[in-house]
Amino acid sequence: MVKLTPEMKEGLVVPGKGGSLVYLCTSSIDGKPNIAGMRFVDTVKDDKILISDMFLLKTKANIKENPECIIAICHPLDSGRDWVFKGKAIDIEYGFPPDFDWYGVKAKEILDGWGDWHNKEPPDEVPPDVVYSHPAQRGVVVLHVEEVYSIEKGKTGEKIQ
Amino acid sequence: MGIKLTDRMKAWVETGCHLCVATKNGSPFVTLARNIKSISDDEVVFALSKDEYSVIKSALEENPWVAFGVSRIGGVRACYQFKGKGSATTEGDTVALKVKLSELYCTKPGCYAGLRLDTKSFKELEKWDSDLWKDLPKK
Repeated sequence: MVKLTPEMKEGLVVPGKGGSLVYLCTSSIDGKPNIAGMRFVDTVKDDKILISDMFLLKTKANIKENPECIIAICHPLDSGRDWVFKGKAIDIEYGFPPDFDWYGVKAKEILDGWGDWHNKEPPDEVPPDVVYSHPAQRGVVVLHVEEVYSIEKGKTGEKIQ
Repeated sequence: MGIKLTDRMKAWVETGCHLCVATKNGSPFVTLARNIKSISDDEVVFALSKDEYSVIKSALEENPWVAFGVSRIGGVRACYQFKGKGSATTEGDTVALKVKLSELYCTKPGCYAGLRLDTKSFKELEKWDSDLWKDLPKK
């Protein structure tokens, strides 16, 4: 059973608050991988990572047919955040039953806390030629982490938890 | 339509990439590639150490698809996703993973998220790319 460390939780917040840009990696059910960078990231409890469902396309389609998913730190990596988190994800969209449960968290708790993420943590640090012009959140992706491994140079693949 | 990467794309890819592969039934694995060379307009070679390759070896042996994005600050500045099929050869302590690209996407948040770029002509792609960004990675 995974328990995210305090250092991991500090790294898994939005970059503007000292956190990280992360890659959300999914796959279709027949094995076509997909990788896309995500700015809105947070944790809940000791084993869940949250990502905003904003502008997700292939990622969203993949999660709907295959929950196997990875979140990997993209930037900064040089601060010792050489982590890959693997587990099962769901996209809790607006309209889910409030008591829908994903490995111990309820849809209402997630959407109440992170359902308006643009206003909760505006992307002030994102360069103007990269930031979106209008937020379009449709839900929150919740990754239930089951394994953590390293991508540190010389230690790639070593199981951390 | 064949892929031809722009000079900006090639420059950013060569700074380092996160590689994602998956088993035939969709279990993903990610590794970090630090030594990369664009060897043609649509082929990239990742020189992986044994540990870097060990993470993706099993999945790659049953399913050649590879998706990758640029690591570190390139994750912010180079909003591209590259996809293709890979083949690995071992050369001493290094594994050379050659990926023949067949799909290219924009991952910039907003109206261009998910836009497929390999359907554009190279002239259109260059213009689209340079209209959005001109910065190259620091050497």
